[in-house]
Amino acid sequence: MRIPDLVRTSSDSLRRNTSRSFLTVLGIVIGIAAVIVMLSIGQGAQGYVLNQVANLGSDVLFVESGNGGGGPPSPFVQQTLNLKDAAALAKRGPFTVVSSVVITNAAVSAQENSTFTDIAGSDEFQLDIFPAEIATGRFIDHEDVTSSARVAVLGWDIAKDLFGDQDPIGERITIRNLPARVIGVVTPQGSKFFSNLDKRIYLPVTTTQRELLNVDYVSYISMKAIGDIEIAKDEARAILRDTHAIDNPNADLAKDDFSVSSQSDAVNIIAGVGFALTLLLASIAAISLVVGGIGIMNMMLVSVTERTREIGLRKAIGGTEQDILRQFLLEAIMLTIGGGVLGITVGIFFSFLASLALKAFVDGWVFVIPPSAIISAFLVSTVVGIAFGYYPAKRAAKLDPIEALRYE
Amino acid sequence: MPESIIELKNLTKTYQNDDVETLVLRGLDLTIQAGEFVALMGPSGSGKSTLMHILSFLDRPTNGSYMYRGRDVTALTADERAALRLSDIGFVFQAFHLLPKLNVLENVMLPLVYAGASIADRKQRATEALQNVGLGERLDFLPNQLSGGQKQRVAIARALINNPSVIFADEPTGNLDSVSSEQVLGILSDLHRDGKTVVMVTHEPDAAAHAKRIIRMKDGVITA
Ligand SMILES: Nc1ncnc2c1ncn2[C@@H]1O[C@H](COP(=O)(O)OP(=O)(O)OP(=O)(O)O)[C@@H](O)[C@H]1O
Ligand SMILES: [Mg+2]
Repeated sequence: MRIPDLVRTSSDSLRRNTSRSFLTVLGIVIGIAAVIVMLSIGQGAQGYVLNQVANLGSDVLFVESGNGGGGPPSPFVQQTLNLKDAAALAKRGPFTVVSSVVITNAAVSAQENSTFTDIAGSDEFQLDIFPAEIATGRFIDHEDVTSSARVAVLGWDIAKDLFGDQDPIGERITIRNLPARVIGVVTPQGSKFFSNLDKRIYLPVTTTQRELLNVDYVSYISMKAIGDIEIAKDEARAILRDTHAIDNPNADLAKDDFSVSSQSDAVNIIAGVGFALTLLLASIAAISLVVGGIGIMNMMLVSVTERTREIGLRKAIGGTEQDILRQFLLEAIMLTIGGGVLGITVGIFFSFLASLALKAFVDGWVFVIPPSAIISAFLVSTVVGIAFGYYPAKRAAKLDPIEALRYE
Repeated sequence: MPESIIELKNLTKTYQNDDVETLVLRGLDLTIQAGEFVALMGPSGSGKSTLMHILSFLDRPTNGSYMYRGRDVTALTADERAALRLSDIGFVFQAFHLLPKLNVLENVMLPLVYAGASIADRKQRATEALQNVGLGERLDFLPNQLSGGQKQRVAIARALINNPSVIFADEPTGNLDSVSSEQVLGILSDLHRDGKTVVMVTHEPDAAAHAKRIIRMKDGVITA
């Protein structure tokens, strides 16, 4: 049989059974749609996360307590870094900027408003690492840090929350029991490192340590390196082993009580997590498609049995085994490709709905449909059709025409 | 001197089911000349359909020789037999075997689809074939909208569409009333007159009377 006739024969017999064909491919439709939605959300999440860490420049290094390496600072790790470490790094290391910060959160109130928000105990260099414009007033300066001044700089949103449209400069706020005077407001920054910087209140690091937390550690130290970033990492480690009195001549990272990482390390970790996630999604997808494929095979076997007489007649009037095989195989492939196309459409639709919902909660979420997802969904549904359509088609092709004609 | 189109020598057919061997055809010798109209008669179970299936390349003999147009066809592959059915053979079945979801025209065109004819050619030839059996007005009817006699005439049109040399009809009037039977037998007689070879199985002496030769079978052998 010629190809156009083959296509017409197969599509005609599918069209005569539209509702059954639709029900048969529902498994494939759902499987493919689920894959598209998961890939879309996965890519969106990865893009969002990378965007959270990727804007600082490749020369930025972070030092955290604990030797875990990577990830956001954890409250369960023994805090080992302090301002002396930062001073040593600034003095002896190849860094243009070294900035320390101690992160906490606290209830704050101003006039009749009160709320609970993030506190960044910060030195005067913080905005050299995390670039931000001052909207009004000024940022924390060297004098504030050395004197543990009771001054506060507000993020854009928290300023609005506490003071509305009123100018907050010079006003008093109370953080826990600590009174402080507002000296500046930072322009809107959006969210970075998974916290909304606009809800943050900056205090001098020393004030936060002594008057709010009664500790002497810092949560992390960030620096801008000069020259090769890997060499700068090693130098930072050597300096900290010295200040922490760690005997570690072989540079065994497991012996350290701190970890040094660069922005690209964080990006690599996230990319690795993204890959693992994709692998997980792919295996879920594979399972759902196998289930869908078995549905197709089942339906095709029923169809071959129902159409035994048709097969016998087609063979009797001169159809070859090849003709019959191709007709039934093509029916299965058309079914799965149709299911794939439908699944892609449904998947894009639900991905879009999901992205609308996510955008409402997550600043900076972007709707993406990776083209590779569409191409692979298409290929996979074809392969499923061939894989699960072959056996029923082969059975049809092998039917004895005499038996088939006699079949009731 | 007419050429012999079918020549059987000592042809046997055995069905093997599990351990049971059934000898259905027990050494047949038979020659049919091109252009003959032959009726095959005999009691039920005597092997008439089995013989027809072998003659029409649907089945293969177990032993013996079958020369079709002077060519040994016992060792043909499945594809070669399919090709011969397509080019040389037309079938008419007792149960019609029209595809229920195709209309009359599409049913008749079906062999041309396998033969690879162009769509215009198929339509034209199928329409003509249907006009020849008096169904030119029913092209877009579905089989279940036709009477038994009309169905069988559609089946005959389908059998003729590839211009075959031999028509095999297995009890073509078995499901028809006498009027329809006469119509169908008339068409088969016309084909014979136009030079086709016709082999027809029947139980009815009236039907067999249309044939020019009657072959009688009993228990897998030809008795007359
Ligand atoms: N697949 C098979 N396996 C075993 N025996 C078979 C098979 N097909 C047919 N037979 C046997 O072969 C014998 C001849 O059958 P066949 O159909 O040729 O008879 P027939 O002469 O056409 O009878 P009828 O007039 O009833 O159509 C029967 O006894 C039947 O049981
Ligand atoms: Mg019979």
